[in-house]
Amino acid sequence: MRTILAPLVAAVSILLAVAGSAGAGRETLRTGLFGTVREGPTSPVCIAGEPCTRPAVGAVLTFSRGGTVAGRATVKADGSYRIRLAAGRYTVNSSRRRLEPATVHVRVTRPSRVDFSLDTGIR
Amino acid sequence: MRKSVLRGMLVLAVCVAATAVAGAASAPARTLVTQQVALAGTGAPTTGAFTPSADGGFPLQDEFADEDEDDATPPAFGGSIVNRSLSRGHGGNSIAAPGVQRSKSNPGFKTGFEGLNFFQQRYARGGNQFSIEPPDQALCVGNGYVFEAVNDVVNIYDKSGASVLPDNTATNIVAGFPTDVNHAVDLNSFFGYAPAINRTTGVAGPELTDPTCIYDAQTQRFFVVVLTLDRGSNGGLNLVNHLDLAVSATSDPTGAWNIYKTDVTNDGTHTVPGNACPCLGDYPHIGADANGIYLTTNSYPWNGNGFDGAQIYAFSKAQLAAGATSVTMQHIDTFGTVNAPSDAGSTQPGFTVWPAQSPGTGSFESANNGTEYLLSSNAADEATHPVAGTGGDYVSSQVVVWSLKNTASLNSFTPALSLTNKVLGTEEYAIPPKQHQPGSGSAPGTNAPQGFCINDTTTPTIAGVGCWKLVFAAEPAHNEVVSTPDSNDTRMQQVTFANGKLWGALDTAINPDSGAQRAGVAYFVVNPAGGATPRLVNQGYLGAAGTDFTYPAIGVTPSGRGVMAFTVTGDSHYPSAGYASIDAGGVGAWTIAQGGEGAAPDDGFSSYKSQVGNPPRTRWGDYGAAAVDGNSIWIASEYIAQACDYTAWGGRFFGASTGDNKLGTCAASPGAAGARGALGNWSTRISQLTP
Repeated sequence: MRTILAPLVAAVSILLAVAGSAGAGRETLRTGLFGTVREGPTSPVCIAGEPCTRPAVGAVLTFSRGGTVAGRATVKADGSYRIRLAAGRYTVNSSRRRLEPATVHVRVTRPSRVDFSLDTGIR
Repeated sequence: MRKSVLRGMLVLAVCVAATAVAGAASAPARTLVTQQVALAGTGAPTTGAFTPSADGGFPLQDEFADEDEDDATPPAFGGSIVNRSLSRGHGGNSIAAPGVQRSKSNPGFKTGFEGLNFFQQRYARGGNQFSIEPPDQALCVGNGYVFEAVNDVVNIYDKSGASVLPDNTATNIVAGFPTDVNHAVDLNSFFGYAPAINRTTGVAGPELTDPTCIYDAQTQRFFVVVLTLDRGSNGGLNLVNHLDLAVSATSDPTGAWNIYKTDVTNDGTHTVPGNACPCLGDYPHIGADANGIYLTTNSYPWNGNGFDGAQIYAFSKAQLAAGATSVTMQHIDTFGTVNAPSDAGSTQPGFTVWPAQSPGTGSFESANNGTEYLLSSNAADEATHPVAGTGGDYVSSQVVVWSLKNTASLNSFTPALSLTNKVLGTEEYAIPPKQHQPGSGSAPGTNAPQGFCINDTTTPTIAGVGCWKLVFAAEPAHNEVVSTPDSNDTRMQQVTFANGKLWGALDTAINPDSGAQRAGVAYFVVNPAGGATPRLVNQGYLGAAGTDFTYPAIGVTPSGRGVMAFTVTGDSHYPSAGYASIDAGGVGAWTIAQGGEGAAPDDGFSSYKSQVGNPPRTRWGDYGAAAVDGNSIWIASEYIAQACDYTAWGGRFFGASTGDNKLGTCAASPGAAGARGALGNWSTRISQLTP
């Protein structure tokens, strides 16, 4: 089964890549990232029942590939973000505090969920 | 969706050779402010007043939950720091890299025992405590006593590991039964505060955190410091925070203690826009020389993204030891004092400037009318981007050697300290990846019962079908995984001045045998040379394929023989307590302390998104400890001491007729000592070694 499917997946990927190069707009509608961004710790010790992280409201995530900025996303009040990006691997930086993960992979086939953490440095 | 409130060696590598002194110029300290700190009261390791807690029901009473999944590559240092693995253990098939220097020491194991744990923490003071992570390890040893503190509980042992505090089981009533916490006393009691949380009224007391301690052989006194966060009239944290420094009134830590309070709320204020205090005086640590006791903090603005610099608080040791009603203290802000560039200009602030402690009575630095040394690193944004709080690459090849001179003046009415620092070129270190324990990223098994429970929808319980109903009021997602515990960042860890050298280590990314990146340790041995021309004596790494080493703490005897403690986690190790020898020749092969092998995965509440939000950040550490007592070195590290499977975790709540009446303790009967709590399973391992 796997050996049969593999060429099929490859063919689909090639088609999508061709479509992307022919029309970036259509590609970015199909691919990208979404998820949540939280910053923490917000206190030296985490207490069960009290938040130890918080939504990183207003933080700006910058996605770059090959040294070129591909897009930016601002974290919403509920801690969520969403961005359209072409498939591929990106480095990510935030407007405040160290971000984890610092690299992400945008799939060819569908939007991917990636949740980020910002490290406040508090321990 | 926010879920509702819950009720109820390696090694080594390499050496030194030709490391040059980089950026040798030093900048003067900005300000020294002299204060008199009044004796604020007394404390004792005796449990204070409380109302017995009735909790033990379900859903759990005191925690809350949150929501939501993922798809991301692990965070990683993009480069490669390579070392050669050595076999574990001593006298084995170690493979040393050519030219690599190694420790000649071979520590003998004397004794070891399980120290404070999650159960004792949670159920001290009649259960009027929170479930908290991480423990934050304090350990100091002297005069026949082994003193241990963690968040938020304390115990004192003899050298065999037996608690010497009064047995408080009979009065420690939790959920209707006297409860055995091995005599442990909550930190709020020790410092004279109301309970952390009154489980009857819901009123919370001050939040104590980050305990750390030393025993000073010269004065024969124990010194313990915590950061205390105050609460306002509405019960919430009011941003006011202070250091509580407790000093044993005699050489007996089971007796009375004198307590001194130093407000740190507005320390570190400088002119960087947007980062004004009020601040958090985070991550306090303690050191000493012949003349002073030194506390340091990291000052973070509560309402900004930047960093306001490490703060140094220098106290007269003699006055503290005498229990003086007023003690001389000088406060120094390190902002703008390190000659290395940052987004604030041509200088950096100090970050985690860890003050050295010294063994015995004859290891102190007498140069410059008394000198206290401190050590720090500078890969973090706190050093390189104190204004923006972000933007760094988290890699450095430097450490900062600090010299606080003229410490004998602390014994005068007009102390006149002088702080300088030098930046030393070193081996490279970088932000470490998370720890990986067996099963990380996969669904929890029955040996991680809290995670298994959250995912479960079929177990019959007294709350209905589905274990999650014991923990949550609203149904969570059932997709939790075994966690990847925190590996810290690159901040300096415990620093020792012994045998004329400064010893320190930090967490780093490392690629053992050029393989996959793991968390490892970078260590440094420095000849401070009176602060004039410090130079590296040795440096190297500790790393091993498939293994993570985190939260190192080095203790060194006056003769220069040392032990480095750390947590060992890996593809084949649940979080364990490990150590390696260290001397001026390098680090020896690592091993796991007898009895320190991890028994199960970390199963704490901060591992699960339904508990703390998505993504969760699994707290671990935040530091280990090592203490020298004569020719012995005592070490303590966080580990998972006991396995407790799902069936035992559920016990009576799954319909069994035996077990505890509190969920998740795995105790044999109500009130018996438990292996863990419902929401966590951390423990600490204390070992005595002779290097």
